[in-house]
Amino acid sequence: MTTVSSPKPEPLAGVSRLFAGLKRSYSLIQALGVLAVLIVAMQIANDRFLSPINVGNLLGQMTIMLIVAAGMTIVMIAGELDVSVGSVVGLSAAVAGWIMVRWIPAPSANDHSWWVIVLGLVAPLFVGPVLGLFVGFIVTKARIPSFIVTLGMLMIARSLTLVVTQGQPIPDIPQIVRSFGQGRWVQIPLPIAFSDFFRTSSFSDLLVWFPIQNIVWVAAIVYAVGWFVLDRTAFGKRVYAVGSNRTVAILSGIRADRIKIQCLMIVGFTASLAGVVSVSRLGAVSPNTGEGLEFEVIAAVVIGGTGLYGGQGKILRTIIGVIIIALTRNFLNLARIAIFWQGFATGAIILAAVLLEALQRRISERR
Amino acid sequence: MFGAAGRETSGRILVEGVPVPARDPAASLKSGIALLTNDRLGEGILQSFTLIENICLPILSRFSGARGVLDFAEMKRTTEKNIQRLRVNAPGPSALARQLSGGNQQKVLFAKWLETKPKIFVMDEPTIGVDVGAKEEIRRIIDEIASAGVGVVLVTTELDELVLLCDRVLVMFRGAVIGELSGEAVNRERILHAAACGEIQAAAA
Repeated sequence: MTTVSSPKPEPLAGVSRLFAGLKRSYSLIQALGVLAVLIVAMQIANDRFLSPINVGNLLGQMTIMLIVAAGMTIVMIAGELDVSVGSVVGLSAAVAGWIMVRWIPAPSANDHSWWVIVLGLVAPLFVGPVLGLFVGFIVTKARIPSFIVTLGMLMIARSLTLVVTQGQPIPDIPQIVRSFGQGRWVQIPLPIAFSDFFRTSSFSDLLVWFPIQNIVWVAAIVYAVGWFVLDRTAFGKRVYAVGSNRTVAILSGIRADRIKIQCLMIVGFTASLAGVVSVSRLGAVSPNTGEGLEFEVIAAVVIGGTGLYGGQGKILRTIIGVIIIALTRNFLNLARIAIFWQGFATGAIILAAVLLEALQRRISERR
Repeated sequence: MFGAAGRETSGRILVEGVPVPARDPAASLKSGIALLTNDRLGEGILQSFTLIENICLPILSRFSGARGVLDFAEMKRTTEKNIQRLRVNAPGPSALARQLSGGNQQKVLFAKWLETKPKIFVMDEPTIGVDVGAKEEIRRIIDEIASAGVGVVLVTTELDELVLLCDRVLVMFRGAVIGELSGEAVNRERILHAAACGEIQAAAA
């Protein structure tokens, strides 16, 4: 990679360009390969794995992690880390539940005024950005690592969640909110019938019209917007620049502190959005919503190829990371492996992914 | 820009009579000052960025419309124009900076700062760590920049570079100017003499 390739006439230009393209997307192909192997292996080990019911569960469980991981990817590209997301998800969910159920009690779950519902869905979305602004100011002005600042915020937001919920679950979320979060209004064809293929070795009806959860579309929109912002806008380029080398970015006239604060607000927003989505999916708020989510999310982002040191990463690859984490957990559930071992398995996968990345970096540096 | 990394110092900077706020690289850039640092790897080139991204980084807003969406075609055109003009030896505008030799990376940085249309271009050791051939080319580029009417402030420890390029030389020691030479007086002996003895020479010889 360090050699200077001069623009000389090449008869095999097309082939070499193809080769260069493959080399560039090598890690993507690798990640997709790991994913494919996982899916096939899990299906062989357990033929309920690709059943419509299980795929449905899997997608639903994955959505919260997906939404938060989008914001986490952005903040990690900017060279910061937010470990408070789990608590921010919880606090946002609690605020939503408190507004819609406790603050303005309705006679029944079908009987809320429209403005209470709108307020209950929109106001919590400001929780994460406001906390992110606060964290961002401390990180950039006092020059304290975001890991430490958000560690403090992790505890503060969890404590506030307990205060808002009074430590009790909040049930009876308005029906209209639940019907969105639990609804499956749009169908798309999915190769779910693979499970039949493995049983009968026939490809008949390979594609099944599968009703996708509405909340999955929310995640899809988050990724579409995230990709657009990171890849197509000046802001996105600045995020990468600040994460790769803060000094170069500042000397190039980029307000690095402002970019970092904005990124911390964005991850806060995705956490809040995930909180509201979880309220509509579960139809209730639990005081420990989102507990431990932060580390699963960071693991997913790292497995998706975003470096721990900033400046590199692709948001769409984070989806692969989330799927790998979610698949593993789901598989362990299906295989009825004791929950005590699940953390062990997830941790081992994270270590393997980080080791692989370090190994690759060392090899590419030596070359 | 000045004092961005260090502590506050005395003096002030004026561009065409207008004061420039200290310790604010974005404002310095806007008032027409470009700074090429002497640490290409640490404070200059972004190795994992393409040439397009390196060159367009300070002027991103020029390529983005009202909604901040970048015009990639225009960015590529700007980069290609610079690759040609500065004779950068690179596979193409989308090549990664790390694929280039030190001298060519330095030319990319020259392109980056020239695209900000500076009125004053401050260069700190512009030919450090580049091979002899590239050194010659970079010196020629500096000459062209100055001929185009940009005020070039060259900071260097290379005597030959000073003699070759400069109209006026200030010799500094521990932050203070201890010698000033211009015109015919700019030669090796006078510069060394000023550096060693620290006497203030009369301008013009």
